Amino acid sequence: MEPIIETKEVWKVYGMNGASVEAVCGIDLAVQQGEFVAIVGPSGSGKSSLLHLLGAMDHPTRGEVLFGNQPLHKMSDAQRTDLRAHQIGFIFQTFNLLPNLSALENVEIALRLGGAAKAERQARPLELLERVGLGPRARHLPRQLSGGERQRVAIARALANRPRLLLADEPTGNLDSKTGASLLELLRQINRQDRQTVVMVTHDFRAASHADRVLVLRDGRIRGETRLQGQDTHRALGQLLALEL
Amino acid sequence: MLRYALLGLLAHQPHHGYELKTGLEQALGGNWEINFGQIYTTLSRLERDGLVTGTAEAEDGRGKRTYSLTPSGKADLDASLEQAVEKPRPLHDEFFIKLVIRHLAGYDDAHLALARQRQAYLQQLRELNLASASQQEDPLVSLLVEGAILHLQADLQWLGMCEERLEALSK
Ligand SMILES: Nc1ncnc2c1ncn2[C@@H]1O[C@H](COP(=O)(O)OP(=O)(O)OP(=O)(O)O)[C@@H](O)[C@H]1O
Ligand SMILES: [Mg+2]
Repeated sequence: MEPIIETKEVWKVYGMNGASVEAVCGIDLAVQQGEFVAIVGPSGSGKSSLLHLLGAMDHPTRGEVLFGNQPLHKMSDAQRTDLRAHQIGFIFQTFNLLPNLSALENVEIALRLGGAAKAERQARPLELLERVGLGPRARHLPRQLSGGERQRVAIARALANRPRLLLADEPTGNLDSKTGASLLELLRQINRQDRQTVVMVTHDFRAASHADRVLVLRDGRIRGETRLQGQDTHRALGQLLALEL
Repeated sequence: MLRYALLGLLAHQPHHGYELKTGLEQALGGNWEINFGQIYTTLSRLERDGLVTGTAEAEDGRGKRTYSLTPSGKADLDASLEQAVEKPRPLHDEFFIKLVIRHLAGYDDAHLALARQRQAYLQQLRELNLASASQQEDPLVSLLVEGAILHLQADLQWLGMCEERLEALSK
């Protein structure tokens, strides 16, 4: 099977008035169609830098990134812009919605930028908002929505053009743990039902444990990898309660 | 703890053994089956110590026994509940000891042990997350689950710290 996105010995070194910061240090990773991958690491470990490389938002200093087997560095700027508009959806910690547009319009504008046909632009925004549980809130402005609701709009917007890859940078970072948990549940559902490929970076192990595969990042390097499985809540609860009596 | 759980149930009203078993299981969210034998052994010890009294259904001492709390049973229960728990949770007990043993044995592959331990904790965290979603109706059990999740998050952070410091030492 060919991965959706792959990095080969990829580096990102920022030059800062003479001093240089090695943010991403020779990372090799491959994400397959339909996977939900979490990259977990402390602040400054290079999560956002890596995600920007995956999303064709930044150029690596060395090494390469391949999207569906196509090396990004061989593409023109126009091709990369096109890739970002059509094939990659982004979710950010701070939601990044346009403040003067309603939830519906925020989703619609993404479709417009993605060059969707008129019929699609009319029907799809509401469908997507319903999908994320915000149908009744479609006409609200971002400031009239809670943080959790705004992030749901951001998910709907990110999915507008049916991207092959959904990238999320600390999507629950500004949410309390309960709202965060329901948002992760939603991402997981979308991943399962639509076989949507998701790569999420976070510093929160709890958030990461919703993914199928967790990569641990430290100082710009992958230090560990775990595949999570099983839905055996019974065992975990049994162990807990056994301890208590 | 089983002893106090039984006293607690009897503080409400008298019960026979089977009711105590199901009452306790229900309080734990129906996730855990309690051994009948264990309940009876504990009950007979409580009876011996005068904390509960058992009355048999039939005059000849046979049939179901109904247990009730005696005044000294009530006093014992209250005294236990009034005490704060002094002992801290054992910190990573088993894993920490394994790290120390590794060191004593002169093994220098602590990073492998740490990585394996992280996998185990992450897997538990995932299962508890699912449990947290499925146990929302039961407030007491969900509190226990949330507490365990917070502890696991701390355990995972501590593993990261171990990794960093042990790495620095070996350089
Ligand atoms: N544009 C930049 N110019 C210079 N240095 C940068 C730049 N962006 C990031 N860095 C540095 O690269 C390192 C990794 O930063 P990055 O933002 O990728 O970390 P992160 O894991 O996303 O952290 P956080 O959890 O705080 O968001 C840090 O030391 C940071 O200071
Ligand atoms: Mg970041």
